[in-house]
Amino acid sequence: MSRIDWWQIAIATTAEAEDLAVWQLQELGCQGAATTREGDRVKVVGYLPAGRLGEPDLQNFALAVCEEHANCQVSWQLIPEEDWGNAWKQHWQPQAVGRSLLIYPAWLPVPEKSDRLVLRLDPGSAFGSGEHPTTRMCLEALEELVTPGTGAIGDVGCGSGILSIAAYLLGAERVYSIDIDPLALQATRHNWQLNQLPEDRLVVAAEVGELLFQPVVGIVCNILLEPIRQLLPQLTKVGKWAVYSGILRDQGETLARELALAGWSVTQTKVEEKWACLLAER
Amino acid sequence: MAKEVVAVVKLALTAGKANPAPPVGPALGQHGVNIMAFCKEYNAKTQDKAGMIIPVEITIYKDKTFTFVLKTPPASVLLAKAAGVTKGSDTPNRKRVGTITRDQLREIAQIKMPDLNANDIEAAMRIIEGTARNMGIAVV
Repeated sequence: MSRIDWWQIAIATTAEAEDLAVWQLQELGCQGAATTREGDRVKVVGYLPAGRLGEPDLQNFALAVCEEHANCQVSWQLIPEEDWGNAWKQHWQPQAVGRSLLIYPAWLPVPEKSDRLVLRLDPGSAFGSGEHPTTRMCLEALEELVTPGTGAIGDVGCGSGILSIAAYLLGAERVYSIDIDPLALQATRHNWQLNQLPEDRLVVAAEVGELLFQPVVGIVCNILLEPIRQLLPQLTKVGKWAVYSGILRDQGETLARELALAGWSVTQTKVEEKWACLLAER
Repeated sequence: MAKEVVAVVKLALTAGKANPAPPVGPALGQHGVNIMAFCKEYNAKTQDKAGMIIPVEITIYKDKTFTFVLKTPPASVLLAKAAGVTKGSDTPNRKRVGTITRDQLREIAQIKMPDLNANDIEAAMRIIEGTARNMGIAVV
């Protein structure tokens, strides 16, 4: 199929007039519109195949639109068609993390030889792509704590499953992946299968309480300070070690104090950019 | 985990019909968002509203993951439906294409209330009435 150009037509107007701008673009023939906010103003953008309209049509459109808005600008430009369904993939490249892991986008062929553990990931909406400092720090912490023969690990707030998969690749015997978001549990299962890991070594659940009845030796929990605090009464009953992240640098002390009250001590604090990762032992 | 937001984009899309073509592709592709994953989830969550325009606000994070929330349909779509018109006026201030009642206006304002910057229903109604006027729809 030959490539076509598109008119990208933008209406910059007040936030209150956003719906009107969407309507006007729809009337022009655009299927849908994209809005971005800039202060109390919005930019509403619609698209049309270039062959449908010419410059004079767009000039007339701009005049008509501006009559209905108190203060607006209409602009347009031609953009070439791209393979938008796949173009986003160029933003994802294999990424080495820590001493031994390599996060590998799902669509790239698996490297025949690698001196790192290849963790294939299909990035979707679920949190955890290996690009965020907290995910990287948790992966590095797991490298330090998990060795072949390590028992079962709990991953609380598993998101894409990246930490669960890393724990298994590093040597955990079984992983309990917990998340309140069903899409995250689905993503974890999907990525687990993508890595061809044994299905009976993964247990997914929506409730942290699931961990209380399992022989878990350590947990990794990369969420936010507040949910961590809410879950602490349960989390501190599980395992011998824990990795907490998703917290800001200045929140580390608060969490360390609360862990101490539950009989846990922080043995190491990692920091990257504005984020912290605490390693704690019972 | 708390993540750095790099962009918030609102898309007005037809329920159940999101695809990588514009506006989805250009709006999300530049941020490295997995477009197919977004379309699949949006379509799954809106399939029961087929035919309606259901805007969605997408928050894109630094690590290219995203979250989204569905919004209420645009006021213009609700007004056109209430007035039984398929097309706005070419000259809204001079040519009327349809009418709605005050009760219908209130009903639309109530639907839109969660997404409007309005303190009360009267303020919301004034905003919606302005949109109606600009479309050539009069409130009678």
